[in-house]
Formats: sequence, C-alpha cells, structure tokens
Amino acid sequence: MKIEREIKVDHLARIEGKAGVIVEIGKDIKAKIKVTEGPRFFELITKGKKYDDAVAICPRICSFCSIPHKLTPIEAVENALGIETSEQTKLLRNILYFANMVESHALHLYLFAIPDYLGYPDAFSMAKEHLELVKNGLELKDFGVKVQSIIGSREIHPENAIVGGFGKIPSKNEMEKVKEMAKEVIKRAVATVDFFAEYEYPSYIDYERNHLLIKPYDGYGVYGNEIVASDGFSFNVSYYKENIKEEVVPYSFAKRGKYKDKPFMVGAISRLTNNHALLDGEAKELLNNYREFLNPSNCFANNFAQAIEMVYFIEKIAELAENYEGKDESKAKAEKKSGRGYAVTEAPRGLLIYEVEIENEIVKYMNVITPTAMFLPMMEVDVVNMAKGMWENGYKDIDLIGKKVEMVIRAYDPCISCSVHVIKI
Amino acid sequence: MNCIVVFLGSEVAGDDSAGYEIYMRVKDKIKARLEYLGTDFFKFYGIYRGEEKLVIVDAVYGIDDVIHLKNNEIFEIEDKSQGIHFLSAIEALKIMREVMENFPKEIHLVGIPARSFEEKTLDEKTIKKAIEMIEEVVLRDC
Repeated sequence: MKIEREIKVDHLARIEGKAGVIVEIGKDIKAKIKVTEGPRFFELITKGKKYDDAVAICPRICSFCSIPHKLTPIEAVENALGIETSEQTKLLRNILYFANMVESHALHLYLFAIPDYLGYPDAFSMAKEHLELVKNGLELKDFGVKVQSIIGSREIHPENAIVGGFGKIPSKNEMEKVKEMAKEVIKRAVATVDFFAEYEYPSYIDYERNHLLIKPYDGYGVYGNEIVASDGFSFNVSYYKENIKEEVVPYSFAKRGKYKDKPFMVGAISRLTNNHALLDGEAKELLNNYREFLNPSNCFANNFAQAIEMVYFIEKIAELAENYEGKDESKAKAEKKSGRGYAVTEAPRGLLIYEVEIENEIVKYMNVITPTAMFLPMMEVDVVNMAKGMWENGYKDIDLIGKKVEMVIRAYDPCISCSVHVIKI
Repeated sequence: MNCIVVFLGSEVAGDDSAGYEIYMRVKDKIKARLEYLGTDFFKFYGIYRGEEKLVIVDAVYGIDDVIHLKNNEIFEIEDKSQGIHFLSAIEALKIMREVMENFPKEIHLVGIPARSFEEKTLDEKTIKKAIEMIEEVVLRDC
C-alpha cells in the first residue's frame, strides 16, 4: 500500500511497558499499536515458589492494579487446593477490590481523560484553571487508597490479603471510618457522572462489538467463574484457552486476545452494558437519567461507565462496611496440597484471568491474561475508524487526527504500571 | 524542621527500582518520616501530614551521576508526559502544589541515574553516594 501520510506516536503509554502507535493513511488506513518493552516473565518467576510466596509476587506486576493481581491469584490457588473462605473474608475482599476500582477510575478519568475533554494538554495545565475538578479526582483516588490501606495494611502492594483469608482482621471502628469516608466522598463521584454526561461521542468510531465480562456471583460484583459474551455465549473460566485465543504479532511484544477470531471489548463499558440491571441505589438512578451515554458500540462510553461504577462501588463500600462484624477468625485451611485452579475477576480495565498448577504446595505453572492484552486488537479497530472517519470527512491535519487517536486509546484506560514517577532531564 | 522523605519507583523494573532499593537500606537508619510510595507519587496527597521539608528520592533518566536539586530547580525541569497515560513525578508534584491547601515549604530531589527499565545497571558506589546525599539533606535541619 502506498502510504500518503503517517501518524506516529512513539511513547503512547506503558502497556506492560513502552508502547506507541503508527497509523498509515493510504488507499486503506491501518493502525499498529506497538508494545515495545520486553516481557517481564512474571509467570516464570512464580514457578518453583511456594503458593503463598507466588501470590505475593503477582501484585508487583502493577502498582495501580496490585489488588486485582493479589486477589485473583489467591482465588485461583484456593480453587486449586479446595479452600473455602468465610463470608467475612469475601466481604473484606469485595471492599478491597471496590476501593481499588475507585482509585483506578479516579486516576484515569481526572488526570488522563478529563484534560482532553476540556482542551488542556495535561492535568497540570488544567489544574491552574479547574482546581476543584482536579481536587475531586485526588480526593476520590485518595479515598480508594485509604480504604485499601485500612484493609490491606499498607498503601503499596497490600500484604494483608492472604490465601485463606486475612492476616489481621480490621476492627469494627476502622470499618466505621471507611463507611464515613464513603458517605463523604460520594458527592464527588456523582459530580463525575454529571461531567461526562455533558459530552457527545464522536460517531466515527461507532462499531458493533462483542463484550466479554463475568457473570457476578453477587450483584454488580467483581467475582464470578462464568465468562459471558454479549453474543449470548458463555463459558466457565477453566475453558478460557479454548475461547480466548492469544496471538502474537511481529510488531509488538504483548500477546493479543481474540474471541471467535475477532477483537472484543472488556472493561467498565462491557460490564455496564451487560450488567446494568444489577445496579442499585444512586448509580442506578444516574444511569437511568443518562441512559443515552451508555453506547456499547463506542469506546468513549467507557469513561462514562467508569464514572457510574465509581458511584456504585463507593455506595457498596459503605453498605458492606455497615454490615461488617469484625469477627476474630483464622484463615481457612487447604484440603489438599496439589491441584489446578482457575480464577477470573473484573479488574478496573476488564477481565483478569489466572490459572495455576500446584504440586505439593509448589507452583508448577502459572498463566495470566490481562485485560489490556485482551482489548489491544479492538483498540486498533477503533484507532483506524477514528483516523478514517476524520480523514474521509475532510480533516487533513495530521496533528489533530493524532490527538483524537490518542483520545481513543486513552478511553480504554490501558494499564500503566509505572506511570507517575519517571523523570527525564 | 519536620521532614518527610518519599521514595519512588517500581520494586522490579530495572533501574527504576533505585528508590525502593535505597528505601530498604535506609528505612531503619534515617531519623525522619520515610515513606515508599511505589510508582504513584499522587499517594503523597493522602499521606502528607504538614511536614515542612519534603525529600523525593527517585530514578532519573538523562543524568550520569547522583544529583541534588532544591525548590525552583526542581519545578524548572521540563519534565512532561511523553504520551498517553504517562505522568512524571515532576508533573505530579506540580499538580499537587496547585491543589493541596498545605504544601511543604522546602522541597529536595535526590536523583539517581537510571539507564534501563529492563536491566538493573545501578552500582554500589552510586547507591552509597545517594544515601550519603539523603542523609546530608535530612540531617541538615530535620
């Protein structure tokens, strides 16, 4: 293909490393999202380790998603060894997970997505004129961090969640504090939904797609063992390899997921599109008020869906904290020493799958599929459609098209583990 | 003067682990409030308790030796996001200075030269030098 113009962004994001995008405009328009950093072999690092050491290694995959990368392998290990946890453990794990959702969504929406909507190059430029808006984001994020710290015992890679339960049981007083903080911060989450309900989506990227998500055990929850597709098909997580095919492309180190040989979507937009009937409280009311913003064919609806989810998860945290009894209990014991286990949870960015094989308490095999790996091919489709839509409608400014392409990618909230600390002089 | 020293960086990603490595070595030795914040400097927003002096310890790309910068020298660094979803520590610091009602009066950055996310090229001499610099900055008036 003769390439007339090319959009090239070298440092797009850190999707398990460094990533860039190339959009080639010729007779056709093609896009390549290149993950250029080498693999980190986390699965290999866990091999040969005792299972409880292995689940302590997994959260190091990501700083922001350390909770999903702790609780999902724990669930896989418990499934492998026949460990049945208490109701109190399940409640605490839900709060921990929901708090991580709030932290992650707040960071993405306020510091990465909203500057685009208001026409600022970055959050710092926006902060000068929209101080309260940025404060909203930091307060919501901080709420998530504090709750994770109370239950998980520390802000970074909380260690209190262990196989079979929790190391230290949080007190009733601590959970009372969690409840009060949730009631205080909820108005900021509602304001986030109102913000995103003021902006229309670019229609160029409307594209019908399959959404994959879990069928939650309870409410609009993050735990389940059944993966549901919006085409009506569903399968147990133990059949994930048969249904989600991972492929490798020459221009990228990251594996990429396909469902029935096609790109698919995961994440907040997928959860809300398919499980919206499971919402309750203020989140349900807000969705009813702004129903037209939940467009399952447009990735920009992911931002709106994350905003609705923040309201839901904060309400649920308050509710669960209210019901918390703080019983002193020891961790559940394993029935056996060997076995194979699978687990899937809804991480902030979508399905997170862990498979583990244990022999005499030692990890022999571990496999992880992250949401970002699953939605990369879908992201390329949306990037092409955005560039194509603009180009064919007379926009020839490559910089402008490049900015819109970046917005598309940002809407997916690709997982960036080490994004706020690197200094380059 | 009340001091807080924050250490930034991944635990596992090559030279980016400089902050963590140094935190582990000094956590029981330096008499000031020490906090390891992983890769998320925004956590400072929630943990700050009104300390007058902030010392940031982080890996820095583009330098050959350990550096010490103070106040405006730090804010003058042209350290911008390189792309989507990529905020630098300096950007985070600037944002928090705008948003937070109380903010440290004195800010120091101890930068450790970093070359690779994939590989650890940090040597013992550099780590030792960085620790000495942190001790000096902290001991000066904390």
